[in-house]
Amino acid sequence: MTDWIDRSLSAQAEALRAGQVSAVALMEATLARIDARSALDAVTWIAPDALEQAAAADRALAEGQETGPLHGLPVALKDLFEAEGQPNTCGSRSMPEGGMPADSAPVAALRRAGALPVLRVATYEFALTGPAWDQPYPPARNPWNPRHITGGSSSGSAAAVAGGLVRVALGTDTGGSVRSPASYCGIVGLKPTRGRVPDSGVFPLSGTLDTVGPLAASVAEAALILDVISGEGMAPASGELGQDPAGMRIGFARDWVLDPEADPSLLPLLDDAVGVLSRLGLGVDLIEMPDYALAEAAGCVIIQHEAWQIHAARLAENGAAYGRDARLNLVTGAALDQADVQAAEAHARDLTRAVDRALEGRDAIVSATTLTPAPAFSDFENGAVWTPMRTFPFNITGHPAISLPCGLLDGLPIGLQIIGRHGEEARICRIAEAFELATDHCLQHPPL
Amino acid sequence: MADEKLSLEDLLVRLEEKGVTLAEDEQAAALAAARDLRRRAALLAQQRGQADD
Repeated sequence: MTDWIDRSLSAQAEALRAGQVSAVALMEATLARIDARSALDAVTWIAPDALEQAAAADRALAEGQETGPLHGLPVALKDLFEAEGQPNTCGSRSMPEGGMPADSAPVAALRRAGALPVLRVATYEFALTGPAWDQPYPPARNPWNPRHITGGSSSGSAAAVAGGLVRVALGTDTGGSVRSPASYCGIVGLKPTRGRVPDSGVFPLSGTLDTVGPLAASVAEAALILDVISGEGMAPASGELGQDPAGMRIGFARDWVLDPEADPSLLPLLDDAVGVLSRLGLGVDLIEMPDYALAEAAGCVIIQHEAWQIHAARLAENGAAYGRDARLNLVTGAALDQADVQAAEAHARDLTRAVDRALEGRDAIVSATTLTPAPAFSDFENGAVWTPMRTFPFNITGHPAISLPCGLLDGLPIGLQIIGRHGEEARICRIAEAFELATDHCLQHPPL
Repeated sequence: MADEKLSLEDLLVRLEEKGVTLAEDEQAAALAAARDLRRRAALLAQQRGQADD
């Protein structure tokens, strides 16, 4: 029965409705897969009544009750989302034990769509920094090579999807935490427009930059989940799937990859990816992007300032319960002055205008997601290491961005990033899906 | 313009204002990380200054 859980969410939902498979069978196969691949350290908690919830879903179907698009399908939650009755450790020993009293907004939306959010997956502590070995659970491992990290902070979400445990998992993206683990693990990560997904009940890192988004096995599944968790009145992310992208126009941010920190094989891979898009009929312009280091600096200042505001009182009360790297990361925020924050906010406004200008007359910008494949755990033996990415600017500007696999470097996957205008997730999903279908990158699976 | 010359004493005073303390063996690493953040802030301040000119 395990073959069903390797099929798309839509295919599974259709099979459920047609009586070809039951929710209990899907859940049993999922639990068996999690057990068989426990070395990934992706899943940190399983609802004790997961099978009962699946049985209830089967009964609802049998009784002809109205069902949502995710009826009876398991979904994983980054251990940062509150869910009724579930612990929410945020990857930290400083959090109180016990079940949460209510669902966060995204989890409530998943349940309304019929999903069974019965799995919790690893996160870097409070979505800050990792990997670390002083959290309540070990760091998730990259399914492509367990000696390599998954990236973070949605580490377990990426490992669970890439490892074939679930088709989709929720994550959060404050500086790239959905897109970079998606890049490192060879899956799809979709960071929506800021404000599109209500996030009450999701533990914050930075109120300004936090964005809830899906990590998924395919573009269509990412769009489906985003549509389920989006606030009211949003244009569907899945609205243009299947439409021919010919005639659309993209800007290629090639200059962002000309960086000494980039893997030397990345640029040819990206050139090939853009070549594919060109052959699909998209017009391509080389564009000059704003200075990345400045954008990253602005993002770091905003995150560290806001994270310090959130955690200072907690650190004063219970700082010893935080992991070392998380504690050292958080206290840096105390070194900032109001003028630093104002300069970062002013830069954010300039950057937003610059990206808007780059998108004038174009449907999207394409670039790399990360500049290297996933580093090895051994690189982190002496503490946190900064990994080069190209994700941060779009948290600052709020533009939607999707990462999807565009090839392997030394046997490890790496992602292509497609960025769109505010509110135009449908457009970037259309381009991403066309690329996905024109190549075999999404069909590559880790050697598990 | 942001000042990159953050001393350990300055950082510890700022932390103490919020009731946060660091173990002695963490202070050097915290200072290095805080200085790195201040360096980024200084980069931004410098760019803003140039923009204002």
